Amino acid sequence: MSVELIDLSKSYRDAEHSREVLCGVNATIADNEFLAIRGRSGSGKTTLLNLIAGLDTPDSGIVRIDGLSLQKMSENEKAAYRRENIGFIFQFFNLLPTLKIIENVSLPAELAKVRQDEAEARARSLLESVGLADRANDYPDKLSGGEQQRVAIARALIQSPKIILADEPTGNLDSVMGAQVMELLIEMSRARRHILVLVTHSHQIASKADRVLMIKDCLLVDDPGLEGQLSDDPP
Amino acid sequence: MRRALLKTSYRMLLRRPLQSFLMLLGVALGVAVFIAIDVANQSARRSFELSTEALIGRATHQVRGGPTGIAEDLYRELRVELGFRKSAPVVEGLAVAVDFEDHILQILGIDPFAEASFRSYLNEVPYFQAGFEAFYTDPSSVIVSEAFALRNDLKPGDFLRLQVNQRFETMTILALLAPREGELTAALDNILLMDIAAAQELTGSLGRLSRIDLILEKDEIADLEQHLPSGVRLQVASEQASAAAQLTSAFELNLSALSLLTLAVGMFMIYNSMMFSVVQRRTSLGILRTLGVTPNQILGMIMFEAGIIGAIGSILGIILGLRLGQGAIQLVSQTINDLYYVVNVRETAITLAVLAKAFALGIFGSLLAGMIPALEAARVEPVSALRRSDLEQRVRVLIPGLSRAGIVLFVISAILMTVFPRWLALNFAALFLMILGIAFLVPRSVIMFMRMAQRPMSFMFGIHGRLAVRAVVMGLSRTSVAIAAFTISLAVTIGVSVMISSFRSTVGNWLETTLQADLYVTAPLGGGTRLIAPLAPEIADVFEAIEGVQLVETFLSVAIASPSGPVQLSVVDVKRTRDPSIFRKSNLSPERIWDRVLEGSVIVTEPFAYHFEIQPTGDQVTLFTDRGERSFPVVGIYFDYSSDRGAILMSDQTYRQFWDDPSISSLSIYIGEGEQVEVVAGRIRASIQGRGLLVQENRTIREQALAIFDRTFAVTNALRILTIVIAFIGVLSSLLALILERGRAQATIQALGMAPKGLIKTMLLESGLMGATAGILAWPAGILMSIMLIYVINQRSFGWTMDMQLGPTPFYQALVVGILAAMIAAIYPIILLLRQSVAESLRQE
Repeated sequence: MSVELIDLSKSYRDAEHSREVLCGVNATIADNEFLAIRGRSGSGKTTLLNLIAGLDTPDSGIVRIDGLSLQKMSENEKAAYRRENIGFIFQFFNLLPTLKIIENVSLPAELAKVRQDEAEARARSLLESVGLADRANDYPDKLSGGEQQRVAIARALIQSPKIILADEPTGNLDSVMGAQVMELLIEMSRARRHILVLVTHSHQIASKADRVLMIKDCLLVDDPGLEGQLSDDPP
Repeated sequence: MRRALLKTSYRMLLRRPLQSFLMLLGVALGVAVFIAIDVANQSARRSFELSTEALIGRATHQVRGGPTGIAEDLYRELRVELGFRKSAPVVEGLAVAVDFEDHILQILGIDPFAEASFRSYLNEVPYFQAGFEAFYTDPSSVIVSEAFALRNDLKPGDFLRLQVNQRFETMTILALLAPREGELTAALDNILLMDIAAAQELTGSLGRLSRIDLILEKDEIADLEQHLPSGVRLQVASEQASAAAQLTSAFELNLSALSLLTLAVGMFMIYNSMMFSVVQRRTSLGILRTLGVTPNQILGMIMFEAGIIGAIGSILGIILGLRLGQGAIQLVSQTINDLYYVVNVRETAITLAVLAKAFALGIFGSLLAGMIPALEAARVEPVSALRRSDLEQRVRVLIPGLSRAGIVLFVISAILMTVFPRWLALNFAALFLMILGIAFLVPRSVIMFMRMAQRPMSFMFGIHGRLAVRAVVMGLSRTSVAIAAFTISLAVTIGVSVMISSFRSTVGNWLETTLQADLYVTAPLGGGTRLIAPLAPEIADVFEAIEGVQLVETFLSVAIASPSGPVQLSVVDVKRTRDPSIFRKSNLSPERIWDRVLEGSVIVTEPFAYHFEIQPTGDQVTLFTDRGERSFPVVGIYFDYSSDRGAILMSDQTYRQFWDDPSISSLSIYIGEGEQVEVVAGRIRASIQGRGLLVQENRTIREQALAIFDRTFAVTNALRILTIVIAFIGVLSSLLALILERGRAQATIQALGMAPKGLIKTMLLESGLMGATAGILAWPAGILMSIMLIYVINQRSFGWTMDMQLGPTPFYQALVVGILAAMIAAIYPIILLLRQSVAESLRQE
């Protein structure tokens, strides 16, 4: 599977102002690639992920997945595309407080109409992989931040998606926990041969990627990789 | 409070316009219903009081006799021989203006020479001017009110066709009465002023007076009393108006209680919205606390918001209520006309007190509803601001206590009803406590229901079903309040429906049992359930001679004075044995009861026995007869639903023995075997052509009675629907709040691949589950409420017993209404949700 971003532009407007966050972004993400995207706060990193996931619509340009344009899909088709191809990992975990851990993990499978027992079996196996099998029947608020993010990784992987979109997955964790979670994510992603698109501030995390791009002045450019240019890594 | 805090509150209300609007709507509708009913009750009562006061004038006392009034010689004797100069004779009666939609006019026959001290407005009539001689010389001369004339395009010199008793007369309008005092215009709207002699002729009471008005000094009272002949009494003039007002007090209280219930449902809504607003502002509240704002100031701030909502909502409610009041006046005065007395409401009684009461109630209700959210807000710690999960946790901890409190409220309610069986207001308080008790039991019941629903919902709707069940349970602090409000309104619907259908079926059966004759003949003046126009007694003989008529029974309904005020007397000339099932209580066999009634005993209706605490054996009723005060033994209590005042039933023979009144009110005609009702009815109609009598078939009377029954409950039905509307708004507001605060979770689900239609399905399932829970919880609550309405409230308000009819209709209706209304309420929140950008919602922390 490949992802092509062709001339993508996106701006946010309110009554008085307009702010361009992406202006003619072009990129191709190859199969099995681990791509890190860096950039300052508000530079448009999350917007780019949302456009790839079909959660947001570009002002112009095309997101093409295996040759199919997302912009030509209906909302229902986009939902199906996400169910079958995308695994999402958020900075704030976004686990559903009304569902138990096992239910949170099995949710995408159930949405894809996988039988409940099969979905739960898959979820259990993934929870084992992330070391949380014993917490399957707890609710999310009983888990630490790191544990919640591990659950989120398990959830993102349950449908064996072709693309994992991770938006600052360690941004809400301390450095030790962050490192553990990242390790887990990269390991599992490589083992399953997914495309992993990771948005991060951290140069250190980005350095583990196959390729690092950065958003600068609303364009996606190669990361110069200069030490200290974005000195926002956690101490 | 600091200005900054007030600004925070004010802006909060403005920032959430829809939420604020729904809260305002909750208060406004509650207050509107309350004020509409209050205005209707007050207007009807005030109209009646004004017209009674206007007719009484400055009289301090009245001399009254039996049903046929008093002999006019007594007036001459009092005035001339005994020297009671401040006295005025009055002849009263009712007439139907046949050309003006059968409008009922009140005949007032006076002697202008004696009037000066009594009714000042009558002094404005130029009785003694040239050209006014016709007032005395022409018995067809009448004076009508200017308001009536204007409304019907009449002027002096025009003719006015009247039906009085069973005669038609054409009168001439001599002049118009236009009292200078504003209030009197409405009070005298229906007046038909005549010279006393002409009035006697018109009403067929030659030589008789309805009453003599007197202005007496204290020392004159005893002197006058000893000169009154047997069967004639002196009574304080103002007693008449207050006695009439008492007739409708239970009816008014019932309506007021139901209107308060709508406000109570509105309060649930305010509570829910305020709680939402508090939870939503957790961060801001935490910051305020960090900046040094005290818990009390936070409390004050939230209470201030509740007060603002209460004040604006009350003002809107008053405006709306005054509009609704016009409709309510129609319905209420129609019922009063049907069941109690003739009242013609021309002016709306809007007093400052009515407005102040509604305003205070709206504010008080809002503050009360805002109290718990305000206390919750005041508990927010500076560091850890209140989180929804904290609140949910606390609600869960509270549930056992709430359930216990619910049971305690049930117990208190039962105690109140048992200990104070005759204190109606306390019985209503007990009903309210029971409703509150139901509300307290809702959270636990919701958890129970959701546990039960989990598997079937999951089986039927998969993940959508499971998400819906979880959403209801996890948002219990919010969902349970909405479900409670909805449960109560649906329970009210079931309770009132069961009560009305039980009542209707009981009345239907009773009509079947009591209306045994084939045809009934009455004067059309009665209106509603009252029979006030007498028939000539000899008419019975005319009918008996008609071919096909087998038997004629006479009936008279007449108001008789008693030491405890006027009571209704039903006088029957029974020729056929009555169905024994009409007797409610007696120690005698039905045959024996009739024998005793023929011997001079009486039986009383259930309401009468209840109001006067009469037992079927050993008790007596005392009445003022034309032979003086007499007591009659009571030998039984019988079912009767024609009047909540109750009545005494006496045989025709006994009545004629004690009262010199030959009149009858109606005739029951039994036709011979093999005869056709329509044919005999046709013969009877032909025999009385031109006499203005109504000949109605059994079936028609029954239909009319049930039509009056349905009219009586029109207000109740309207209130019931309004309560559901308010609860519907409550569910809408709750769903809106739930959806808004769950924006991010919903966005996550969409990001994970749930399509919009899946989201719609989940939301509809969630709201449908809430509605279904309310619908099912309303079943036991509704049964409980109907038991209270039937066996406590109705019996203690009116004295009627009825057989409870538990048909399936109100129950499945409540369930269907619950589910549908909740799903409809979810539509707008779903639209809002679908409009929200998923990316935007995910970005928000």
